[in-house]
Amino acid sequence: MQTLNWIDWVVLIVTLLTIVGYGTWKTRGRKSAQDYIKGGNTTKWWTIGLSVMATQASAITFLSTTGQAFSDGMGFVQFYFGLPIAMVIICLVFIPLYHRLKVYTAYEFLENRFDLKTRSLTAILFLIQRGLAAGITIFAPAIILSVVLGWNITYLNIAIGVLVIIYTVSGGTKAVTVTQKQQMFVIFAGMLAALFIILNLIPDDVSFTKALDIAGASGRMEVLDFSFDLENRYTVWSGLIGGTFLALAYFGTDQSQVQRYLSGKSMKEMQMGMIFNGLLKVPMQFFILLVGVMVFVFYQFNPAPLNFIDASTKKVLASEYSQQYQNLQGKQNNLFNEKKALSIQLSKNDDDKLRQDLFVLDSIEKTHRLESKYLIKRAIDTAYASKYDKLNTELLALENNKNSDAYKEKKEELNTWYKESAKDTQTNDRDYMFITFILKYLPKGLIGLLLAVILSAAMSSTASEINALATITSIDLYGRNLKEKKDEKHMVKATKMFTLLWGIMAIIIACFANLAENLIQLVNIIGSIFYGNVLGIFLLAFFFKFIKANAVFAAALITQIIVIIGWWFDWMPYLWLNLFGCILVILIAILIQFSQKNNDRISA
Amino acid sequence: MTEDKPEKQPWLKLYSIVLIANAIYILAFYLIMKAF
Repeated sequence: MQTLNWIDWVVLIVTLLTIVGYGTWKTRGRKSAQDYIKGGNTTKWWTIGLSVMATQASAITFLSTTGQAFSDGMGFVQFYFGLPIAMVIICLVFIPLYHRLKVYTAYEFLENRFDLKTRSLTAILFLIQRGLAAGITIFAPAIILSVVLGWNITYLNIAIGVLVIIYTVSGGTKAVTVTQKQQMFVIFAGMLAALFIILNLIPDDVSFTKALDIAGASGRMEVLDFSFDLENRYTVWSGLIGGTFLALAYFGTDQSQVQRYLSGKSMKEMQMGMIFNGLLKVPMQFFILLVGVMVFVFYQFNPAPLNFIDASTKKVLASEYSQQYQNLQGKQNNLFNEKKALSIQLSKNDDDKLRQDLFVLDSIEKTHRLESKYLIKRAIDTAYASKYDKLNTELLALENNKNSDAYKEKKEELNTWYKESAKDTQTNDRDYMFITFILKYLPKGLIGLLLAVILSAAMSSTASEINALATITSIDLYGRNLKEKKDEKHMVKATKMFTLLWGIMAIIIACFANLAENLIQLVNIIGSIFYGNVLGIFLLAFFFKFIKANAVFAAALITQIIVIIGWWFDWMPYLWLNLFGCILVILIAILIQFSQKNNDRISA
Repeated sequence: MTEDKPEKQPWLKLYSIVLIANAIYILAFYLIMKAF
């Protein structure tokens, strides 16, 4: 566990407080609902673009994506290939409609097209998924920082939440946008500085292209996967098709994003803001992944721990598996020396044999890392160890007949159980790689700046989320169901109150959240369960004029149940749930509409 | 709030630019992947 130097504390605290203070002061005293919820419709295109990007880029993006690049390479960038396509569709279809109807929320449009219950259903689906996501957005960096820095996680959750609440309650949408501009500046500056320092830490005689060559030899530069394998989470096709649907749903129907561009000065500014996002998002993700890959290259010349969670390493070293773990560390040290020698040779010679050897050593290292997770899992989970031993005993009993199906099945089962060890929150160290590197190798001051990057990212996303949650609660649920129309002052006050309540709710969810297999995936999974359905409802509204309110409402309920069942029983990789939910709701609505027409004809 | 007939939206040059840029990114990634 590491303690921060006072310089880092100063950089961190000054950066965060300046952003919060400036945002609160600059946007104080908003009186009308249009001012508070739509930021007075004064936002310029480039601010919209930055705001949209800041909303999507949470702390998870920086911690998890870099870790993903370190372990699996650059393939994750494919997830964003559909985003620019979605931006064009949003500019052509969604923005003109929202702008023409002068809506405050995306779901207001649905009442106009269908009915109140469809509007309320989509608003409630949004509140469920975005409410949970807001808690995770705070919790994700908090748990990681608490483990590596020893900070109290509850205090950290509260600190992030309270800072966000201060300016979001005070200034509404304008405060969110103003602070996001500064947060994006801190994020870009911090990540650029990190990349610069990492490149400087790699030996002088290893050029940037040679560093990429070393990464490529270890399979980290496999950016594109053209296979049609549904089991493969990130391929060009899943990015282009699934990614388009996900981005369309997220940017077109998720109020946390819709509210960003609805604050635009004009329709043109809104459209240009989205195009700005479409142009920059893919290179930005590539850049973040590249930082992760460069951290990987750095560790080809510097020893890396077998597991990046120090606390877990300490636990296994204090357990009965200590000797086994130390032996594994010894093997890893030897492997590191071989890898380092090969990497140095590769940086001087262009030799395919060296590349192949490096690839083999990297594969061995992956088995070492998996074994370290297995040993940690045994040390912390006796039930896991007992089940593994039982399976192993059963396998040994079948060893006389190695060609039998029973033996092969048992071996497969044991292998699956072995790999299961990598899924535990105390063994899966992917989200800890970048932060561990930052704390150990970056100079004083820059550590504080990078921590400010992580917390700024968390704050910018959370602010958009609670701002949107409050708007939906205020406009779509509270305001819509009031018996008598209330004045602007009352609605601003109510929205402020809902912002405070959702902020507190996000803190509470963060305090009770449990880490999932991978944080970035958890947020995407929650999104994928609901987004497809909501997007389908919007597409029905835009393009299927003959579909009426009752058909779409029933179809939405049935679809949501089927999608949740599909996710629970793992019918398909989660990204495809977007497409599945979207197509399903459209098909069911069409079927219901036709069957209603037939029934009407029969009864007539 | 009423839903009257929507105006036909023009195709802006910017839309072509963002789609072409996306194709260029994918092509660039392909070349990077082949080079390393």
